[in-house]
Amino acid sequence: MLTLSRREGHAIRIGDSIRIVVSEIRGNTVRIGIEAPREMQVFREELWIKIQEENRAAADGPDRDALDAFLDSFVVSGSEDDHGRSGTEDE
Amino acid sequence: MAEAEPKMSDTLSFTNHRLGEIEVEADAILNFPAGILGFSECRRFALLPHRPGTPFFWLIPIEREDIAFVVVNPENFFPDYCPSLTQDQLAPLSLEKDQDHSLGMLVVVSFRDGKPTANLRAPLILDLAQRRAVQAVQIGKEFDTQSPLFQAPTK
Repeated sequence: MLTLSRREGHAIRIGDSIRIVVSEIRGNTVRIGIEAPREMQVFREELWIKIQEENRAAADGPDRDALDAFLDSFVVSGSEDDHGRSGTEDE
Repeated sequence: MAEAEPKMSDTLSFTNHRLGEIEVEADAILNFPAGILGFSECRRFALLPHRPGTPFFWLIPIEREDIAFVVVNPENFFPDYCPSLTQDQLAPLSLEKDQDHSLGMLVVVSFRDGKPTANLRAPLILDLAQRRAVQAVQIGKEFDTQSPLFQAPTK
């Protein structure tokens, strides 16, 4: 990893299209401004990890038969149209 | 300009471990120019209904055989759901004024312990006309990555 020391107001360039500015330092918090091409997604790492984990969990889901079996287990005769019904309280 | 020409529809066949042989019309393929977080190698997907009468769809990457996503239209489960969509989030869709963009929305479903949850924190926004899509991650915390699809059923 490249490590650079920067002061408030200083910036870092990554390639031609990304600019990162240290906009404020207060105590142990740094505010960072990011200029990047629109199509480039910029997130806090925690959120990035969270979404990635959720996508991975979703990608590892049921197969066609398992989804069918699951859906069948929900269909109570005559009430197919009422998927949002709550029979018992959520714990 | 957009006059429909009579054309032979090319089809694309590929295999998915969970769903078997898939054959779709080539121009029905959905492109994710920015990918899906965690699966940046996957850019092209087939979107197929699971079974008539169910609100479930399969989102199947062409570039990987071993995964498939179950997705639903959030309208069917979360009628009040209204994520915020900024121009930056939609940038991968390359929306242009003089093009037809019919936008649709889907959310990805996970099954943990047999309980389906929807990721409302990162909806998929689809440009149905241009066959492009983006996972529009919500920065705010008002939406959960694991929102139960159903209330607890009666046992």
